[in-house]
This record gives sequence, structure tokens and C-alpha cells, in this order.
Amino acid sequence: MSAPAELVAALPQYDIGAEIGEGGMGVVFAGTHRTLGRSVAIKQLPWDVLNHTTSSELFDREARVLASLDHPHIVPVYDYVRTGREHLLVMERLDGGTVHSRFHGGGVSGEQACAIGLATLAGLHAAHRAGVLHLDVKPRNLLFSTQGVMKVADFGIARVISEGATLVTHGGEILGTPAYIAPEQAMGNALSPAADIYAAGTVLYELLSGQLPFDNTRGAISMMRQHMFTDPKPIPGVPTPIAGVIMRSLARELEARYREAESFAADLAAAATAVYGPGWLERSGVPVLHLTPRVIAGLNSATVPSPPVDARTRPVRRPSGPNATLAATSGSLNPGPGLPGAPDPGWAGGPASGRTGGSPDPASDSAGSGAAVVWLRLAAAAAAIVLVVLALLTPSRLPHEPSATLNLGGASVAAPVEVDLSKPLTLTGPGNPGGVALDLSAAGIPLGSAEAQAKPDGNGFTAELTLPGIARWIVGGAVTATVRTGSVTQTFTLVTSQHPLASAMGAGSLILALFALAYLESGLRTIRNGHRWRGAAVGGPVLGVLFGAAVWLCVSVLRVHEPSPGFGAGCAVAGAVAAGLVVAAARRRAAAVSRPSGR
Amino acid sequence: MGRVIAAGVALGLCAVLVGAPPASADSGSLGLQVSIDSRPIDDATVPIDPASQVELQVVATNPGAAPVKVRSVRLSGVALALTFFAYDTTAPFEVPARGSVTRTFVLDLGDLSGQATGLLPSSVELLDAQRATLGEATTVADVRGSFWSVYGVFGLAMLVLTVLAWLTALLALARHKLAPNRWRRGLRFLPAGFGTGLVAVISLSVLRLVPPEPAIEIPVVLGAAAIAFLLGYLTPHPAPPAAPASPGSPAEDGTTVRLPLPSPQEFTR
Repeated sequence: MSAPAELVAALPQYDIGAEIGEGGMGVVFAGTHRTLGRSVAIKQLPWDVLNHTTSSELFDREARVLASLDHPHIVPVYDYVRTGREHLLVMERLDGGTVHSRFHGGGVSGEQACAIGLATLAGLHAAHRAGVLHLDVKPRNLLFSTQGVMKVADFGIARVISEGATLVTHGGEILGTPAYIAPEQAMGNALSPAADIYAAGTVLYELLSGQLPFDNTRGAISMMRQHMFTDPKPIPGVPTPIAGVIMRSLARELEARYREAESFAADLAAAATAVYGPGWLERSGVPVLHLTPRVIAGLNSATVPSPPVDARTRPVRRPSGPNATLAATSGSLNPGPGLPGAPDPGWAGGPASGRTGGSPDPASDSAGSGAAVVWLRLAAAAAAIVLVVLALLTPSRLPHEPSATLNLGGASVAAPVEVDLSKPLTLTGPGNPGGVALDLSAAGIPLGSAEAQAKPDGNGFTAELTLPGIARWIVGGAVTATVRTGSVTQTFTLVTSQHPLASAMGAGSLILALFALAYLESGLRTIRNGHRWRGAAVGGPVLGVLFGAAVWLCVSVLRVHEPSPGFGAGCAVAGAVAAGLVVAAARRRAAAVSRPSGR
Repeated sequence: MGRVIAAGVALGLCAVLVGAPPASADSGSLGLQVSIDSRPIDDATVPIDPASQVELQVVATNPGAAPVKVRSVRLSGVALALTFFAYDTTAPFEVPARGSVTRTFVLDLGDLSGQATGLLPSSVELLDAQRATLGEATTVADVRGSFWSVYGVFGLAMLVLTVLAWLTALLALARHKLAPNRWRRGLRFLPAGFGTGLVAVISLSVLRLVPPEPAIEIPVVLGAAAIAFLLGYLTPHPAPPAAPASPGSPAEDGTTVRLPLPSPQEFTR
């Protein structure tokens, strides 16, 4: 892709080449200074997030700070141009590849990884002392010069694009790389050098173990939530001293994490010396320059660094308000001492390491949670089977003992009577009761009624009962009919002649069952997506009751079985249990991914 | 797809409601007894086979003191206030005061096959010169017409559209594709409810499952629509998707992205 015309016009002293990179921080073009012949990389910052006056002014200030950074492990900024809406940074172009490309190319050894870590932390420490946070440390931003010197690129740009103290853009979005983002950064909280330390620790974790500290198969949101709420997996296959240092840099709680890059680097240097022996840095072949005396001391000490007393991590809390955010930020840039603590050899933790505080091991947690989810799902399936079986076992008819002398539509009510509800019903019987009433119900729920005066007919009576016109659309299948002749009440089974599904009892129950199912799936999807379903503990079973009852009614109507209230209650309970267990399984599974450990 | 179905159902409903003719204010001054093919139509479902001629016998009784002149006889089928077929026969006759007249007409209903099918509320009317109704007898005609008749296609289309409307609405509910606004979610379910009412009134009569009842057709349609709207109104607020805002898989490829600020989203709002 060729450079846009406005970029060429803004930098007339440079030959603008092709685009060599693109990301959330903008687009990068290759360039060459026409006079000096110096190769440069030109970063065009995203104008859509810089078109605010405050952002532009902030960036002007930041650009001056960035240009003042002078450290062998920081990519130098040569120039800054602002014309119209364009914000252009001209930086040294590094053609030796990135840590990302080297890692995915031939891989890096343990010594090289530690050396890269020291170089990164050296650059970060220098920037932090100048009051600049990086906030997007990742292998792609760690570049090698052709001489093999590693430099950190893109300092401070993330913070400029965001609203300063936090990393929330004007559009309310979080800026960062989900795989390496610090918990407080993911939550939009106050930021300090500890955020860069966390990202650098994640890079080291990846370089040493070949994997990220969190499950990276569930997408960006899940990754960010894991950073926020989940402890990282114990780093596998890494010697304990180094693992302890790295895991401390990944502590979710700020107090448990290194507060400054220098102390992280010093502990890393000491741990690496303890593991690889003196001279490991030279053997790595990765130049690390301008080490501070503290790091040099660590490099020469070979003393295994001590983790803090309480190495447990707790969820990062959001500050109470914007003032808290700003206050935390302004103070956070002051270097503070590392946290001393009692030795805990098993800090890096395998199952046998015995983590402090007696907290369970995440791996065993995950396995236990997975087994629980399976059991919950099996139980839910069993409840669903019970529901279906109960619905199918509904008896064809409820026990009635009507008089054989009573006739409806010419048929004795001693057996189920089939009638057309759209037509008047003729009831005949012995004696003359005066008033006659017919009530239709299903499981005790009234569906329609009709009353008429009985007329003498020979030795008995005859009465013409006309049900409300709506009854033909409501009643389907078999229902319970109650006839009151004077003071005598008799019940019998009444079957409608129309198709069972052509009724509110048939089609309506089917729609209700599907509605409950869709509603439940909607709630489960909410949980699966990592959100909270408020009232799930009640909502799930209630939907289950609705589903179970609707299934029971639908099956009864379609099979022309007289609805039995006992079986209906059983189906409703089974549905409630099934839905409750399904919801519990979903919540458990979601908690396994992003579990607020409370530790 | 859901919008198309909703529009289809809504159009059908509009056709029904807007196309409804004004109710006849005058029920007539003549008593009327009607037989079709020698079978009285009162309280009976009258089969009508368009392939054969229909013998329509009317017995008009005039209880008044003045003679009444009848100009024509109309046989019509009406559902949801829409006239799906109407046959007029001009045969002037006079019914004397306190007397009755019997007339027999032979109707050729050959075209009815393409106009209606199923159980259709029908009426036989006596009309005067001003086409005012002098007497009327109603029944339910079991028209043995084609499924591809106007009434048949209308009923079947309503059935299909309503099933699709329910499926799309429920799938949208399950997949969090409904609108965040509760009223709009209710409106999303409204066409399905209207369709259900229309199916109850028209499709079931086309399929000869339930004979129609003209008096409560409109309440059935509106009641079904209200229930569906209520169901839609009670649906939960759709949660935002878990997928990343930017393409690809940023969690894996290490690209800097802008993502929505993750915050516990309330499911029910």
C-alpha cells in the first residue's frame, strides 16, 4: 500500500515507502531521509482518536517527552510532525525483526529470553523514570536492530490515544493487546509502571514456556476477563527461581506485583544467574546495555529472590471515582520499594508446591470445576428425561364416576364423549333438575361454561347448552367436563372433535414451551458470553416450570389425554430442576473461565 | 427475513382491517328460510361443490302489513369482514303482506373453486332495488374449492408466515438478536401474534379444522396479538456479544485492538 498524499505532503524531506505495519496504534510506513539517507519508520497515529483538542495537546506534550527519551533499549524518535489532522512520529527503523518473529522463527533459549527481559525492563525503567508508560508491551513491539540490539518501540502512544490517566478512549473503549494487557488496564483503572511490568512478565512467560498464562482460545473479551479475574497458570517447565520472579510480575494485585521495572530486572538477573550460572548474559548473545547498579548487583549475586509474604492475588478493584484514578496515577509513577517477604520456595507453584494461604491449585480447580459441570449436565439431562417420561405417562383418562343415564349429544357420559364445541350441546337425563350447567376444565383450570334451563322430555329432561364462541379455539384434545343438574354434580371426560393442535391448549402450549426454551437459551448465552444473568437462580427454574408445564400440556393435548394435575406438577418440577441444573452448569463453567477467586 | 415476514403478516392484517366493509345496519324485514340442495342451512354446515350446480330455495315470510318487493338474491362468503365470494341473482318477486313466497334458483358456482375453499361463514340475503338487505340467513358453507383459491392461498400463506414469524422471533430471542428496547421487542413479537389470530380464524377454516365464528374473529386476532406483544415485552435485554470488536482473533495474534470496556452487563433490564 502506498503512502497517502497528505503524509507525503507533511514530510517533504522524506521518501515515503510502503506500509510496513498496522495496528491499534496507527499505521507505520517505511521512509528514508532524502539528505541523510537514514532509514526511518513513520508512524501515522489514528486521527479518529486524536481529533479531540485535549488529545492533540496531550500528544504534543507526550511527543516532546518521547523525543527526550535517550536509552539504548528504546527506539529513538527523530521527529514529530503535526499538520491538520495528521500526527506523525518519525522513528528509527529497525530491520532486525521483532522478538515475536524471532520467537516464532527459530525460538529463543532460556538465557536469551531472560536477556530480552532485562533489555526490555531496562528500557521500561528509563521511560518510567521520565514519566512515560508504554502500556502496550508485547513481542511485536520489541524490535531488533541489525546489530542485534533489542529496543522497545511505541512508547507512550497508547496512553496518548486514550484519555491519559486510564487507557479508556473517548469512545469508551479499552486500548491494548488482550494477550498481554494488565488487569487494571483491562478494567480501565488507574495505570502505573506496574502495568508495563505485568505485560513484560507476560512476554517473558511466553518466551520461556512457549505459551500464554491464560487460555487464548476464547477470544479477546475472554482473554481480558481472565487477566482481570483469574490467576495465571503456573509457568510450566521453567526453573523455580525464574518462575517465581515471573509469577510475581503477573500478580493481579498491585501490592503483590513488582512496582518498578528495576526491581523486577534485578530479581530476574539474580534468578537467571542462579539457574544458568555466572556469565549467562554474555552467553545469550543478546546485548543488554546501561544496566543499573542494582541490576548488576543482582546479576552478580545468584541469590534466589524472595517472593512477598502473601503471594496470593485478589481481583483488582475499580477506583471509586475519576479523582481516585487520577490520584493513583500521579503517585504511581514515583518509584517505590519492592515488597519484602518471607521465603516461599513453592511460589511458582505446581500441585505439590504448597501455595501460601492454602488456596487450591488452579489446575486442580479447573479439573474439579469441569467434573462438576459434567455432573450438573448429566443431572439436568436426567431431569429432562424424567420430564419427558412423566409427560408420556400421563393417563389417558382421569377417574370419573358419572351416571350412565346422562347423555351429551346423544352419547352416554359414562364413556368419553366427543363433541363439536362450535355447535350447541344437547344434554339429556332423567328427572327435571331445573337448571343445568356445564363447565369445562383442564387440570382444574376453567376453560368455559354454559348454563341452560332444562326442559321436560318424557320421563327426563333435555337442555341445549351453548358454550362461548371462544371455547372452540381454547379447548383442544380431552378435557374434564362437570355437569351440574340441580344439586347433583357429575364429571366426565369430554373430547373435542377438532384437531388438537388447532386450539390454544395445543398450539399455545407449544409456543409457550418454545418461548421458555428460547428464553432459557438466551440466559445461558448471556452466561456463556461472560456476562451476568441477574436472577438466574430464580429465573432459570421459573422458566423450567413453564417449560415443563407447557410440554406436559402439549403432549397431553396432542395425544388426546385428559390433563392430569399430578403429572403436570411433576413435569413442572422436573423442568425446574433441569433448568436450574443447566443454569448452574453454565455459571460454573463461566466461573471456571473467569473466576473471581476472592483470593 | 424476520422483517419480511413481519411485513407480510402486517400487510395481511391491514388488508383485513382496512378492507372491512361497514356493517349492515338493516337486517331486513322479511323472515327467511333457506335450503341448499333441499337441505336447510340453519345450524348446519352446508357442503357446496363448485363443480355442480346448486339449487337454492328461499322461503320469504313477510310479517308486515305492506307487501315487500325483492329484487335479487345474494349468496356470499365472508371471513374477517372480507367478502371472498358473492353471487347475485336478479329475480324480482313480491312478498305479500302477512304472506310467504317460495322461490327456487339454480346457481352455477363454477368460479367458486378459484375463490374459496374450506369452512367459510356464508349468508343468503334478499336485496331490494337499493341493494338494502330485506332478509338474511347465515350458515357455514363447506366449500369444496381448490387450495389455490384466493381464500385458500390467503389462509395457507398466513399459516406459513406465522410459523416463520414465531421461529424467527424465538431464534432472535435465543440468540440475543432482539432490540435493546423492551417496546421494540414487543413489537417484534406482535406480527407473530397477529398471524396466530389470523391462522385461528382463516387458516383453520381453510383446513376445515375449526369452523369460523364471525362474531369473535376480531377479538381473537387482537387477543392473540396482545399476548404475543406481552411475551415480547417480557423477553430479556439482549447481552452484548462476546466476540471481539475487531476482526481476527486479537487474543492470539497479539495485535493492539480497541475493545469495549468489559463491565458486568445486567441481563434483565
